Amino acid sequence: MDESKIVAENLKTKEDLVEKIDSLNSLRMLVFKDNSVDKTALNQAYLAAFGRNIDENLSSNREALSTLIDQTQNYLESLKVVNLTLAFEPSHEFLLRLKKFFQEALGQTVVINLVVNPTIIGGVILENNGKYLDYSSAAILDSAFQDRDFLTTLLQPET
Amino acid sequence: MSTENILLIAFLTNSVLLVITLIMIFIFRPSKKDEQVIKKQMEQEAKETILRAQSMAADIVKNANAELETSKQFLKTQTDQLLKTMKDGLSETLSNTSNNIQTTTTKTLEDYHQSLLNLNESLKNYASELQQKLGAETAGRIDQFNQEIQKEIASVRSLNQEKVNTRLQTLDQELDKIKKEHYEALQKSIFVVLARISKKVLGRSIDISTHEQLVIDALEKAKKENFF
Repeated sequence: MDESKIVAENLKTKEDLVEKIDSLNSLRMLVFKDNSVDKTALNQAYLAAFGRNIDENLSSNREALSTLIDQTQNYLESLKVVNLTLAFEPSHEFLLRLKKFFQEALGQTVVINLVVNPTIIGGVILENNGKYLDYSSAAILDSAFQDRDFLTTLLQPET
Repeated sequence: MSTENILLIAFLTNSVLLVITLIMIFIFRPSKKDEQVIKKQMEQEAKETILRAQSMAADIVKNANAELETSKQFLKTQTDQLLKTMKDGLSETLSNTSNNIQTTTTKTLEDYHQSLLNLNESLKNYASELQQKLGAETAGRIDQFNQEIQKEIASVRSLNQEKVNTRLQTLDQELDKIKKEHYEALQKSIFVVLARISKKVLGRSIDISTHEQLVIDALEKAKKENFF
């Protein structure tokens, strides 16, 4: 698996993606500096961008490093983003579970643009490729409260 | 002819005769010798003529004065008589006129009084007749007016009753509508309150595992519905 896909696999949310692209940009700035750049600093930037230490060959080959950075950034920017609204702050594990679900459903690596909105009570609101789906508990309740006849019968005293 | 005119004519006549005489004397004047005699005769004759003329003039003046006096007396007598006649006539006329006026006035007053009496009687009759006519006319009109008023009152009553009924119906309808609107608004408010309460209760009562399960269930449902 190449470096770009490894990086993408570790991204869960759009915030992670933005942070990763920022790391790549920081690394690119160091690469374009003269050869006097400290190797330790370069390694730290690489570690932040790719999640592992830079190997010696790549460290001395600025051109190859630059190409890797560009390829990785292009790949990350091409990733599919799914908008997801939840009523609670999800745990890391649950985010990974969601990411896995979307990758299986869509057949590609995705990042989640997560919005936390407690007013939806529960469930989820999805936006994908311009389509919108509201499976929130609030929407279900609103729909139920639109059925006045049903609610009226509920308001009647039990016999 | 007045006395002055007579005297003037006499004087002129004597003067003309004197002039003629002088002319004749001059034409047929005698010789130097006789001239003195003739002159003396002529002077004598002239003196005589003048004397005669003076005498005649004096007579004329005397007669004229007498005539004047006579005329004055006559005029005075005539004037007095005329004045007396006029006075008597005027007095008589005044007396007659006064009598006539008094008579006429009395008669006029009597006529006027009679006319007034007649007029009064006529007016009395006319007033009485008019009163009767007016009474009859008024009674008729009042009856007619009374009937019309009765009709109008009946019509207005009917109209009012109809309007009241219509208004009552409208009010009933409006009341029903308001009741319905209030009932619906109340229902809506109840549902809104219920929805809010339900959301709050649900939001607080759902634990993390239930939340996660709700999300997974929703995603599975979306997958089944080919959302992705």
